[in-house]
Amino acid sequence: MTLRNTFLILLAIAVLVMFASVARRLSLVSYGLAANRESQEVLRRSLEDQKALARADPAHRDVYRRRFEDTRRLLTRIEIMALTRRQVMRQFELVLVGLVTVIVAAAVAAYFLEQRSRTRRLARIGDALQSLSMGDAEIAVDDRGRDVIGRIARMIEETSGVIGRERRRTRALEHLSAWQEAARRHAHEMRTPLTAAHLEIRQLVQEAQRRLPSDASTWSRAEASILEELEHLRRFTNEFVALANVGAPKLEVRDVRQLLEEFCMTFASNWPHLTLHCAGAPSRRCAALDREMLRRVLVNLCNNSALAAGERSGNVTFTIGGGPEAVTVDVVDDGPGVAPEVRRRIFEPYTTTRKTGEGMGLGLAISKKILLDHHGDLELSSSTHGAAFRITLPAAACPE
Amino acid sequence: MRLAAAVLIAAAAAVARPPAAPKAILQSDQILVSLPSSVLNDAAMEKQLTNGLTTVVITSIEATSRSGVPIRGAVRVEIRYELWDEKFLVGVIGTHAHRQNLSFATFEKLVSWWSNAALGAAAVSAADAPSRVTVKTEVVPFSAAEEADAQRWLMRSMTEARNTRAPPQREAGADTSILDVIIGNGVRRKPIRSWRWTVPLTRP
Repeated sequence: MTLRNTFLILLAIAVLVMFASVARRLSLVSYGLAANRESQEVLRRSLEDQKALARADPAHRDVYRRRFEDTRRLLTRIEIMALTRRQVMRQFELVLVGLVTVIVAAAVAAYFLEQRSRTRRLARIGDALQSLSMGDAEIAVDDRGRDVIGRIARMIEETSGVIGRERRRTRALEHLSAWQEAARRHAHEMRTPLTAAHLEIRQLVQEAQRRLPSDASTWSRAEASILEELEHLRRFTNEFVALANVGAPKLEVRDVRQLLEEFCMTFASNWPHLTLHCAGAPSRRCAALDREMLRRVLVNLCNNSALAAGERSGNVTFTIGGGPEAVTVDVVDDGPGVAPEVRRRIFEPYTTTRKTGEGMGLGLAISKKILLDHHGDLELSSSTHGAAFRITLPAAACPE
Repeated sequence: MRLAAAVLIAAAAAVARPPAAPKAILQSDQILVSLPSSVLNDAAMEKQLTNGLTTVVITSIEATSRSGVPIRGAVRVEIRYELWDEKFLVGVIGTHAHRQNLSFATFEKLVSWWSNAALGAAAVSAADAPSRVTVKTEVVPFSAAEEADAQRWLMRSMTEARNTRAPPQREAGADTSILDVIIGNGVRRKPIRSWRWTVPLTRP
């Protein structure tokens, strides 16, 4: 039994005893007044008087007799009260003892029930801790108590949640790092031959035009066509480079609300068919972030929305949320949404639904990498219409 | 000091000494009980008997016949001092629930009758009568009717007292507080004295 419970039980008993004592005293005072010996004596004298009056005035004997009977009845009632006074006190004592017994019995029963419940809850905590020690993530303890055990259960759940999130983050980062390394090598391997090919083509065309001036226009068309293809290859190579070159963010504490408002204003005309909406946050929400990198993420998301909308007009809404630990930005468009078969691997590099040659599907992978490097995340949210992404950033105290 | 203590103990023992044993007599297939005068004849009992209430003396007998049949019976004596006429009214209800009414002008006459009365408490065949009987006597300070009347009066008084504080639309007796219940239950008949003897059944 905890000290608090013991104190409450003692307090309840003390209040009860005080109440019963006062009630008993008050009742017995009135009881005592009614059964007062002096009153009895007065009534007895009154009886004698009625009798004397009846003897002195026989004509009204019946009247005196009635009065005598009334007084006698009152006297017998008072006599009974006096005789039972001790019993009434005993009744008070019995009720008091009964109530105290009930309180103590209830307290003992509550104690044993609490002990049993506590033992079960501790067993569950023990199991959860064992699972935690074995590295399990996302453990659910199923204990919503507000006491210490309940708080420990929630701490275990939070810790396992953090472990799970960190594990997923590490896995994603490792995965993206492998892709980055591959992209870096591909870019490196392709850049030199591309540059060489560009120069060689230029020289080859010049030589051919010198030797066969009559076919100069044919050579020029061929050169333009080859250079266009090489340019195409260069752009792809640059995208590889972009993935490979996602560096560490330069973090500064900034107001996310202000950053979003600036973005909506600056990029308002960037996508002709797209309208950007910044849902205002009630107060400043700050996070440690790399402004340029976050802009890049927002641009990537808007690019995807614009491409999905095509020639139709569309809307993208940015909504700030989160709690004390994190700032979230929900980016939601009203386009066709993400195809179910793509959802699972949407952040994998080279995942795209566009036609070949229209993009390599690196934008979301790069965005995910950027946010993981911020110790945040980019997730695809569930949405009934349109695509919905959630950007999560660790919250920071806003500078004064 | 020791002497004083011994005197006190002796005095206490004398005060606490039970009255002399009653007599149980077998007569005409009845067990008659003759209670000692000391049951009535002391100052406290005299005060109780003259307070105007009906004092009830219940004497019950228990025994087992020679053939092993349990024998039980009782006689009830109700004594009330009639304050107007200044006489003792006595009602005796014994075997076969027969009631006998008597009256005595003085306490001494009542005690005298009491000392000589043999009250029929149980019926038994003379051939099968037991040799010993257990006699139990209890003195109850007031009758059931007086108890009910006092309870009604008390409850009515408490309700009236409460209604002087409560709104007038409350009906009398509509709510009963725990205090009323405690006081109401406290006003109950309980023996103020009781004795138990096992005595031989004598035959005249």
